[in-house]
Amino acid sequence: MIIAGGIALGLLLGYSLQRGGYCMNTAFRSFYMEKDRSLVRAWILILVINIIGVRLFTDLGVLQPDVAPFFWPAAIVGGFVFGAGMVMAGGCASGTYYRCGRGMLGSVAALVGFVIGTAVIDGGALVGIQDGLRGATIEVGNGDGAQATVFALLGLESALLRRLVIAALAIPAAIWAFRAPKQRFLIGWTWQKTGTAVGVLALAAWLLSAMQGRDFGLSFTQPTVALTRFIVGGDTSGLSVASFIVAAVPIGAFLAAKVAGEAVLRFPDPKRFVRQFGGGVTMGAGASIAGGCNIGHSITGVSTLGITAITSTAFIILGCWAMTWVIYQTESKRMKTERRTV
Amino acid sequence: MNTGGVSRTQQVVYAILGVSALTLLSALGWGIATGALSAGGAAEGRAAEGGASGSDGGPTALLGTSRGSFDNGGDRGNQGILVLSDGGTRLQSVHVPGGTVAAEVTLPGQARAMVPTPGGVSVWVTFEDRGEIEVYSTTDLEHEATIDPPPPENGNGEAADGGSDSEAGSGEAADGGGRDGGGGGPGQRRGPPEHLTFSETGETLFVTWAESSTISVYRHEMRELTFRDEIDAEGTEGPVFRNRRATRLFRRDEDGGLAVFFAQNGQRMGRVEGTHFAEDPTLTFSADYTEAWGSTSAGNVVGMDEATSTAVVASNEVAPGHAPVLPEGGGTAVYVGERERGIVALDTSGIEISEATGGDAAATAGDATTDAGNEIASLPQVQQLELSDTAGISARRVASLAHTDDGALVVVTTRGELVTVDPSTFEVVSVAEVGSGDDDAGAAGGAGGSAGDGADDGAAGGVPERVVAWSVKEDGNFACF
Repeated sequence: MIIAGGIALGLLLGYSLQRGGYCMNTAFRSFYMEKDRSLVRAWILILVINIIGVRLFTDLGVLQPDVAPFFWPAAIVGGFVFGAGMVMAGGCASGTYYRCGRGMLGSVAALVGFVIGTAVIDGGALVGIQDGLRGATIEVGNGDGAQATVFALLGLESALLRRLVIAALAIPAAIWAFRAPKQRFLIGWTWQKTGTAVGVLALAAWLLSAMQGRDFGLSFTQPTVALTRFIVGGDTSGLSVASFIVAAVPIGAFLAAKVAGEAVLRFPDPKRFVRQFGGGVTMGAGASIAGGCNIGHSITGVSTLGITAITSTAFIILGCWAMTWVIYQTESKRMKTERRTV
Repeated sequence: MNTGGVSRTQQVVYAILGVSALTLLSALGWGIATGALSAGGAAEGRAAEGGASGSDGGPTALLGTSRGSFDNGGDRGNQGILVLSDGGTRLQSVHVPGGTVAAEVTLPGQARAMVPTPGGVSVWVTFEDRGEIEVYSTTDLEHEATIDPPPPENGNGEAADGGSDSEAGSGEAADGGGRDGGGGGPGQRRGPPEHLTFSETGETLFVTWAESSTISVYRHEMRELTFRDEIDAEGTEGPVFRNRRATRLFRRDEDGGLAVFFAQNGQRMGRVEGTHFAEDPTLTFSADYTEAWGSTSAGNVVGMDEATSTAVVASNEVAPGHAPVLPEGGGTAVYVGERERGIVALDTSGIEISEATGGDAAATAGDATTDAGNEIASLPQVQQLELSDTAGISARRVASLAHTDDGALVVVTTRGELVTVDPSTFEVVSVAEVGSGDDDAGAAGGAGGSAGDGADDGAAGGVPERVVAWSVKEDGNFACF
C-alpha cells in the first residue's frame, strides 16, 4: 500500500509540476532577473502549507522529523554549487525530472549528470569532499545535541512559543504571497493552484514516509542515489517511499504533457546539451555535499525550520544568481561580438 | 495532440490521475486505520511492506543489552527472554509468559553481552576474551554462525568484507587478527567486541570494543558484516544507544553524561547534561522514540527527550547502579524495579522533559530536591507491587523488566523467578523459575537491565546476570531475521 501510495503521489506530483511549470531554478532566478515572481509565490505557499502541517503533525505525535546537524561548510559550498549547477542544467532537481517526462532531452542529459554527480560524491570516488565539508559542525542551542532548528537557535522549548514562531513566519509570508499582482505569464496552472497542489503533496509525502518509519518528507537526491544503486547493483537498502515517488514523477509529467499536447522530444543544440549535462553533474555533486537539493532542503528541510536547510537554500539562491550573472555576461559579450562582426 | 474537448488521451490521463489520487488517499487512510499514522504513536505498526523499516509497537530497546522489543504483531509463541547465568557461560531461552525453559546451551566462553537481532530470530553474543561473535537461534539456541567482525585494513576506513563462519553453510570467516590488544582510536588494535547495537532494520551494526573507545560501524546483511566506518568516541565507554533511525548515537562519557554523535559522519554533536549514568548504563526508549528512560548511578530515575537531548532526573530513589526502568507502551508511565519494594509504576504524563529542564524544572514538577538544574521532584507513584509479599516469590529485587506482546509486564527477579504481572491491576498472574532457581544469589550489575550489587540476595550462581527479551517480528524488512 505504501509503495502504491508512493507511486500515486509521484504521478500526481509529476503532473502538478508539469502543469504548473514549477521549477525552482526559474523561481529563484526571477528574484534577480524578472518582475514576475509567481513561482516564488508558489514556493512560499508550499512552505506555508508544510511548515504549519509539519508542526501540527509533530505536535500530534505523528511526525518526528529528522533534522541534519548544522554542517555549515557543506551547506554553504554544496548549496552554492547546486545553485550554480541548476542554472547550467536548465532546471532544478525536480524540474529536471519532470522535464524528462515531457521529452526534453537536454534535461535527460542533466538527469544523467545528476545521477553521476551524486554517485561520485555520495559514497563514490570523491566522498572525501563530502566527509571533509561535513566534518565541521556548529552546535545550535545549548550544546546539548539538540536538533539544529530555529527553535533551538532561539532557545524555544515551549510548544506554544514554537507555534507563535510558526505563525510569525507563515502569516506575513502568506500575506505577501496573496497580495500578488495578476500572473503575467500563464501557460498552465496559476501559482496558487500549483503551490497548493505541490504543498499538499509534499505534506502527504511526510505522512507516507512516516508510515514507513522514515522521518523525512519529499526529497530527490537520496532517492536518486538509492534508485541508482538499486538499478546498477541491486542494492535495495536505500529504497524508500521517496524512491517510488521520484521514479513516478517523469511519468506523471509525461501524462500531463500528453494531455496538453506538449509531449514532444526536443533536442537542444549540442553546446547546450553538453552544458546541461555538466550542470547536472555539478548539481548532483552540490546536492550530495549539502545533503539535499531544492526539494530536500528548500521545501522539506525548511519546513522543519532546520538551520542547515535554511542556510543551504540561501546559498542555492546565491549560486543560482551568480551563475545566471555569469551566463548573462558571457552571452551579452558574445552577442556584442557577433553584432560587430555583422 | 490537443484536439479540443476531452480527447481519448485526456480521458485516460484523467483516469490514471483519479486512480492515483484514490490510491494516495487509500494509502493514507490505511495508515490511519492500521495505526501507522496515529497521534502519539507514530512508530506503532510501522513495520511495513517494501523496504519499510520494521519498528516496534512496544517499548523498544536501543540495544540488545537493554530489554529488546516486543511487537504487537508477533506470534505469542515466538517471544521470550534470554537468560545468561553461571558467570556468563550458560544461556537459556525462556518462553513468556509461561516461564518454560525451552532451551539451554553452554557458551564457549564468558559472555560479555547479548543482543537479539531486530527480527527476533537470532541472538548475537560477545565474549570477554574472544574476538568472535557467536549467533544462536532465540527459540532453541541452536548455534547458527560464528562471526568475526572484519577490522579496517587501515585507519582510513577501508572496507574489508567479513562474514560468518556459518553452520548453515553461507559465508566465510574473515581474519580475526588485529584485535588482541591495544586501545586507542579508529583503525587501531583493540580488544574483543563488547557491545552490539543494531539499527532498526539491522542493516547497520554498531560495535564497541574492549580497550578502545572507538565505535565501529558495519553494514550488515544476513550475518555478513562489511566494515563501513569508525567513530572516534574518545572519552566514552559502554554500550551505544541509538535513536529510531540510528541517525544519532548516545554513549556514556567519562563524566557520566551522554555524548551525542551524528551517526553519518561520527561528528560529536553535543552532550546530555545534568545526569550521571552508571557504567554500562541501560536506557530504554518509549514506543514512539520521543523519550528514553534509565537510572543514574545514584539510583534516580532519569528521562531524556530525544529531540532536544535534554534530561531530567527525578528524585525517586531506586536501586543504585542498574535499576531496571521500562517505559509503559502508552508513554504515560515508567515501571521501575526498586531496591526494597519490588516494582512501582511512576506517572510521567505530567512531565514534558524538554520543557522541564533548566529553571522551569521545579515549577513544572514541584519542589526540586537538589540544586542541579535538571533535577525535578518525585514522579508520582501510581502502582506498586511488593515482590516479597507475593506468594511464591522469594526475591525482593528485580533483575529485568519487559513487556509481552499482549501487554503483560514480565519481571525477572534476582533469584531467577519469572513473574508475569497484569499492568492494569498490578497483580501477579503467574510465577515460574528461570535460571537454576536454587541459588540464593544476586545479580551482578550489567547491561542487560540486571539489578545492582546483589548484596542482599547473596552470591552469584545460577541466577540471571543478563536478561534480554526477544520477539519474532512477522513483518518488516530486516537485514537479518
